[in-house]
Amino acid sequence: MTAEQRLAAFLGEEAAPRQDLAFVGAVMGRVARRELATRLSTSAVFAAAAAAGLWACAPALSAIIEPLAQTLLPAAVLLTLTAAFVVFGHGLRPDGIRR
Amino acid sequence: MDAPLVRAARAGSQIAFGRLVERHQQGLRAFLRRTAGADADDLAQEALVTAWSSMDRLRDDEGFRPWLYGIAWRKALTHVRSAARSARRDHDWTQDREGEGGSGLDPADRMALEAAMAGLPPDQRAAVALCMAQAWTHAEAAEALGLPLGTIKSHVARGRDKLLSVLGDRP
Repeated sequence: MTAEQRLAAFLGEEAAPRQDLAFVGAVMGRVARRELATRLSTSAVFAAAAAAGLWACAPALSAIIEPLAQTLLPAAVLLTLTAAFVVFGHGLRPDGIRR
Repeated sequence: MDAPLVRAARAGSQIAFGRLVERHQQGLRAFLRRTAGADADDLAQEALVTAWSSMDRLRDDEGFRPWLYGIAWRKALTHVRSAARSARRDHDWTQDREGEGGSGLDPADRMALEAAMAGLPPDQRAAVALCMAQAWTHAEAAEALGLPLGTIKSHVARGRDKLLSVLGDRP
């Protein structure tokens, strides 16, 4: 073999496997983790922005909601008691002893 | 050839990107093994993940390969400039290649060529790896490595001369 041929043989050797599912899987795993981290950080930014918006609007919202709350309080109490009876009271026998 | 997959990957398809990874992993890892040595597969993974998150910055859909190799090359440069890692790289690189004999190359020639390859300046080694080992055109290599075309041509010529010089006139 000439020097040229030996150099060509050296450079022509395959330095990596043609197919490597483990490598591809490792890359795609990292890609999926990167995507998840990106989505989580985006969601966190939106949540923080929403919380800041609500905090900024809190005085105006209170002014609207507090009078309503006074009006709706008796209805809310009635609804809560009814719901409690429906949820916890349906198992009571007429004599008051649980089955 | 890559354009449809690149467009799909840019739109968020991980399946399409997986196909691109399958298609380019061999060449990319071979290039990095020749230029960066032991941590080539880690660098290849990092380059591919960076490519995934930077798909919006790829202007030419058909230019995925040189763009990807450019990312990998910049990571490899940072890597090979670390002196601490360099010593380990050369050691591991030699160990990795021990026992390979598929090409019928004499072990003495292989050792001499590996040492000569490791001794080339990084840019020259990368140009040789792409143009001589992976049959890239000079223009493609220039694009991937971010070097002028003339520089690539001279790197390849000088690198080839250096590699041939270590083989001497032995038959």
